[in-house]
Amino acid sequence: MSLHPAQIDAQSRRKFLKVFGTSMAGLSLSGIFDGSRVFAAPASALLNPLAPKPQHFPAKAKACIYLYLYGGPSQMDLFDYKPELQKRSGKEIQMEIRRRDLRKSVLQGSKREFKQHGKSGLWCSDAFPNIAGHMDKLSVIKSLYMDSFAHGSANLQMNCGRVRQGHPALGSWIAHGLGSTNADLPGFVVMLDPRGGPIPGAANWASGYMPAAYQGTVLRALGNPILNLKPNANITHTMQGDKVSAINAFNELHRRGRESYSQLSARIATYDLAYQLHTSAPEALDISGEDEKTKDLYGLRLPKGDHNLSIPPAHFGRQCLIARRLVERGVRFVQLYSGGGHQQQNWDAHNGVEENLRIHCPEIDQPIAGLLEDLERRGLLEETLVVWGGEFGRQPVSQGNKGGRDHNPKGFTYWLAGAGVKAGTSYGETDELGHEAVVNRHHVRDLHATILHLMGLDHEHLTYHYGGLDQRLTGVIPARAIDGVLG
Amino acid sequence: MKGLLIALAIAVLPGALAAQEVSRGDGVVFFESKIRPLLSGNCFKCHGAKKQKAGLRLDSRARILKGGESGPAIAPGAPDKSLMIEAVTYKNSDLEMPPKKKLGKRQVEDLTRWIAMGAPWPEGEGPAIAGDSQEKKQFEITAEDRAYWAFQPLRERSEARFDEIIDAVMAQKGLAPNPPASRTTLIRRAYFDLIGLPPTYEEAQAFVADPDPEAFGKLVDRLLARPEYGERWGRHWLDVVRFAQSNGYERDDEKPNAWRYRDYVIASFNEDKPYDRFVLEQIAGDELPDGGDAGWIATGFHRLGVWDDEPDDKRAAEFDGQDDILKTTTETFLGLTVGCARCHDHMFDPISQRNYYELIAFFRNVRPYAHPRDKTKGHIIRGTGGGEALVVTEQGADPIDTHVLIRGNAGRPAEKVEPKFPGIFGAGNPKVTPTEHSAGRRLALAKWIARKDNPLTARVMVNRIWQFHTGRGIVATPNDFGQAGHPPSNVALLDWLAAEFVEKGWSVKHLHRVIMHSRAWQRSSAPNAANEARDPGNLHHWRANLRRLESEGIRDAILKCAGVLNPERGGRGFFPALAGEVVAGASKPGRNWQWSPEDQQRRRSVYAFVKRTMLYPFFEIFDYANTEGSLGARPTTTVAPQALLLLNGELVAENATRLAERARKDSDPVAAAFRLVLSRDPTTEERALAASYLAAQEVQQRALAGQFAFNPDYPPALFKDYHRNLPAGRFLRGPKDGWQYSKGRWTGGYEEILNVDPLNPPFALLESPRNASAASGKLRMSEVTKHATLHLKARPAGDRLDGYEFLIDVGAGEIAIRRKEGDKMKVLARQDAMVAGSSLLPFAAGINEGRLYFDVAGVHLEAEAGEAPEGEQFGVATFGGPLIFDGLALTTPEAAGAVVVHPPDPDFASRRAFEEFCGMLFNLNEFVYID
Repeated sequence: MSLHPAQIDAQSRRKFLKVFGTSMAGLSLSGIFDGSRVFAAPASALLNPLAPKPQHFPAKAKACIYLYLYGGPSQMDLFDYKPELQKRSGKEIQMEIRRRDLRKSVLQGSKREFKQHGKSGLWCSDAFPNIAGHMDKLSVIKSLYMDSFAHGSANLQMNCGRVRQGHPALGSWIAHGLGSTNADLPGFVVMLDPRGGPIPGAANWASGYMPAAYQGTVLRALGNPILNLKPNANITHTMQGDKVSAINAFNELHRRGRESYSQLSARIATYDLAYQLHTSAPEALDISGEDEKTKDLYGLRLPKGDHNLSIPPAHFGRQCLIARRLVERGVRFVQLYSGGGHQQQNWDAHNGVEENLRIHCPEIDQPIAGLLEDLERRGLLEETLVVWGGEFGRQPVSQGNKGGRDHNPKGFTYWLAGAGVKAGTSYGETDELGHEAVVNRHHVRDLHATILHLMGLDHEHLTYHYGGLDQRLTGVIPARAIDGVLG
Repeated sequence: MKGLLIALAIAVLPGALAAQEVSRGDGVVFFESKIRPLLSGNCFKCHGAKKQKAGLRLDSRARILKGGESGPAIAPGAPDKSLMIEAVTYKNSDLEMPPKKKLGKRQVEDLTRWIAMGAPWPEGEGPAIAGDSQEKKQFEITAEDRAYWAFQPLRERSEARFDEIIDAVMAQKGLAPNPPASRTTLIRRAYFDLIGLPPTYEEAQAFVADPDPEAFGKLVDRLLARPEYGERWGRHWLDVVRFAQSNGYERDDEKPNAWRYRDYVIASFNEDKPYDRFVLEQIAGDELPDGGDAGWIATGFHRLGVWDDEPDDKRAAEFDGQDDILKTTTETFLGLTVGCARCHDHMFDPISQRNYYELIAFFRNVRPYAHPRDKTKGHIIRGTGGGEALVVTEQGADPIDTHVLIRGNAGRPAEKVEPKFPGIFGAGNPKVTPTEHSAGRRLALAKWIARKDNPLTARVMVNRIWQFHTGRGIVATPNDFGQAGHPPSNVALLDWLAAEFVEKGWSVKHLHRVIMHSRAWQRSSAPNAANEARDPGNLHHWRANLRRLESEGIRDAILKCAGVLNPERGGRGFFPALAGEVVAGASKPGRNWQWSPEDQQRRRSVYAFVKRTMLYPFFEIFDYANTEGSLGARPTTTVAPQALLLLNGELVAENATRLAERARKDSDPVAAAFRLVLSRDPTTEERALAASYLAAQEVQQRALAGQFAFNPDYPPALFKDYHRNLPAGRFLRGPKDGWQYSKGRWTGGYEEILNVDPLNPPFALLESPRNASAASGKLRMSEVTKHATLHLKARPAGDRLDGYEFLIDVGAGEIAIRRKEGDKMKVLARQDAMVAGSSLLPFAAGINEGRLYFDVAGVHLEAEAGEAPEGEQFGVATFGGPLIFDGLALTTPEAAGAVVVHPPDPDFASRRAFEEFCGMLFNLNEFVYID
């Protein structure tokens, strides 16, 4: 095997270092910070925020890939088959469309055809012909509910546990709880839709009151994958290496007489890591070495849909493929956004649910099916948790004159697959119209408890002290993992 | 599934309702929206917690079913058999309820319908009024609670000054104090502590050489008198009060005039406003008889929090807003975390849930949610310039009732409460005098907080000041002096400082002088193994702590050293330039962000616009404050993204160039750069390192002498206004001299979001020479570049380029010659070719005797040129990543040979090497840490 470019550079750098007589210490990407409880720890007991930490109890999942369908996908057109709704389509009903606001509405059946699939006989509509082939891998939860009818607060609750802004994201909690097993890559990665970010932007992957080391790192599809990853075009890799070595050399001189301040050596180490990132991050993102069959599996060559707002499946497909590569390299939590911006640019089907499905389903159907298949054939599905869903679901009644559906936090569907999940299961029910979760109802905090549980974390013991409280992702109202979906 | 839906077919009701259905969950919604208000408004007075006329109580489902003297009040599902309906319809003259006024027709219908639905009531809810809070164990303040140190009055001061207090503890612990720091160290420490900027070399030299024994005292006085002092300490305060200039959430709109509050804070520190006055003004400046404009502006304090303009539950959101104000007030001024008591008694501190709502009562009239776009809510200030300020607004002089909310649920009010200080303080009841515009309650609270004998106020503030001087508070949890916080490392020390503070008129500047003149503050930061073994965290101040600068300190110092820091003060502030990838994360990328002129972008960090959902990455990466709640102490992380930022970020690169320019004017540029950045001369060893680095750099730079690059920097989607305001040179970044830039073609416009057209991305046109017939040289792309184009005979046609186009498409694996005119694009020649994007490729493209040719990457393409296009310019575009030229030359009819574009200047290699050296200095530990 020939030398990887990074290794060649490492050699030339070592030569340079010899000239300066410096040494390096190896540390993780996210380095060091002083005290998790705000200077509480003595300066000598520095903590590495992303050092690997043990699970609270043994669990199969080492990583989680969260497929986030921003805007709120329509459960009754995808997985939650409601024959009664079909029967009563066109009938009037009073329905809560915004909090405590009952409106006279007209029931709207799905135009999708539903079938049962696989040995499990789980329902899936023809909107997802490829995902339908993997129903036996899924555990479909049809009875979730949450607390907001509005995107801003709903996205925050789905990602950060609260409708109020300022709390750390699920990925931050997992990074805080488990650290990262890869020193060269971030522990919590986010990839966005090219049409824009979700409402309300970076708050969805923020670390809130935790240090910024736990926030999601956005990997870009276009241009530099990580902010400031690369120097200007007028600096070569060798020059950058020399610069890092020179910085280290000066810093070593500065450290004389200050040896016991470990933050100084920690900071020196972050320069080596930054330099390593120049190659390790692009390597993880470089899919050119994947074989053609794999690329097709993720739909990288499929044509774009016929709607002017749609994008080719290659976007989400590439992100799914990169997610697999990141998980293989030890990244704990990868969140992919399908849909960006507003309204029909994402799953927010106010202006026509059929049109919305026509835009977005083909963008993700083959990529997700490909991801599930690829993870399985590589044995990765046994140690990777895949989560599918949005910030809420949609209403069984029509909106506007184009057959739209409004937001619905009272009943919606998520599915889980992979590590520790009871495959081929349908769990919970909405009422016969698909409006409200009624059988085995679970609040979103239970979903969060479940995801943490599958990652080997007890949501009651995963805490961070802030504002006079040991804060938890799941908050103060009792939550529990959903037993019915655990394998 | 049976029974999940309740079909309504009620004969007594009009037909319109008859065929409609409501699910069980929606039944509760119906109850909450229609029935609960109806019952509480019309029935509870006689049939509630206080009175139960005729033995009937209507505040829980069970009690309604149990009924009173006449039997059950309702029969669920059977309105026609329900006594309640009989009563409200006045059918029976013996039973007409409510007796004084018959319910409206709609109300009767609602009640009827509710009973027909089976009388749904929220699960698990007992009585609707009063209840759980009385049923659980009684809240009690114990003797232990009262004995807790933080609730005790300040200790009597002994003769000992606080250095002696510290020395005594050190002696007891067997710790040997470090010697005093050198003057070189002291001046740097003093500058950063007080004004957040480094001293110049000359200032440092003068101080070191100053024979005056009072030199240090004079230095401190000089620094305290500088306007930068308020900017530095004002920023500390802004962390504590969760300052931001936008609301957060989806729209994250600007809070108009929030900057006046920021400027008020800065001015208050600069004028050494007594802290008790500072407290009064922020909490109740509008209620002060002599509050004036400053008093009004200070109340912006109440309006700084996050605000959801589209809350799911408006009722709950109202209390969220008041909770934000109360939490910020108590954490900021009292070091008390009362937020936990919103739903239940505080788990650690003697604050009951009732206390929480008694405190809420002080703010109950405050409208944190007055719409910021509603201009009438702004207060016109009379001072110079006039204008509006973001100020507190109250709902008039009559206070809204405050109730304890069961489990914090806004829909479940229990007993009514009045404003009261928490019992643990034994402070009696507030005396409230309403003002013309407000209930006057806040002033009562503010006066109590600002009292000299309040055990927390002075302690909390001196602890903050100590913390910002030393890196850690005497109480390490500055916002939590309660049981869940850290115990003080030295109560006597804290109390000494607090007493001194109060005694000297709450003067913050006096406290700075006291602290900075102490032996403790002036010690060196050197390690001492024996001490470290006994006191590794330096809790007892045997040395000064090595501290990393905050984000603002690093940025401001970079600008100062480069000689470009713009000292302009106050106002709305500036918008730092954001990289395209940062903007990309928003749902409307760039909405509510602006482009500030370059000189504005060089202002101090405290004037950077603070937008909650788009924090400037430079700040965020270096642990800038969390703006969502009060933050007493920032964490200090040491992570690789910080190294990436200082190695590769735009701010450092630009200012390294400026610094290099300054330093190279000196006959000894290396020494000059050291003086400018570190305020000292380099050592011999450092000179040798620098020389070695510069020599190696220069050799490598020589190879790049003929190179220049074009780098795209925009997200694929952009909000319309931001797209319009951003200069074209930000879309495609390349050499400034001699090039015109265009934003290229952006399409779409759905929801005012534009998308870049990959076929017509942002481009650059060379001004001269004109009429080039050929271009040659070498070019390179990068692994992320998708495609790049060269253009001959080009001219801008709106947002596109007309003329000949020579394409290298790395993504598609294609090389082509095309001709563009308006919408039309004609492929003249093309060939599949795998191009290694990141290697340097010789190329030649041109027109020769009526034929076009393109030689690149071993491919030779030719095509008929046809009729010449009308354009005359040479242009370039690149998509996805950079395009780099090396020795680009153009052939024109006028010149004999090819004209080299940007010919290398002889100074290039040494200049660039030195710029890199300067950039490196900004990365040094010595630059970002102070001893």
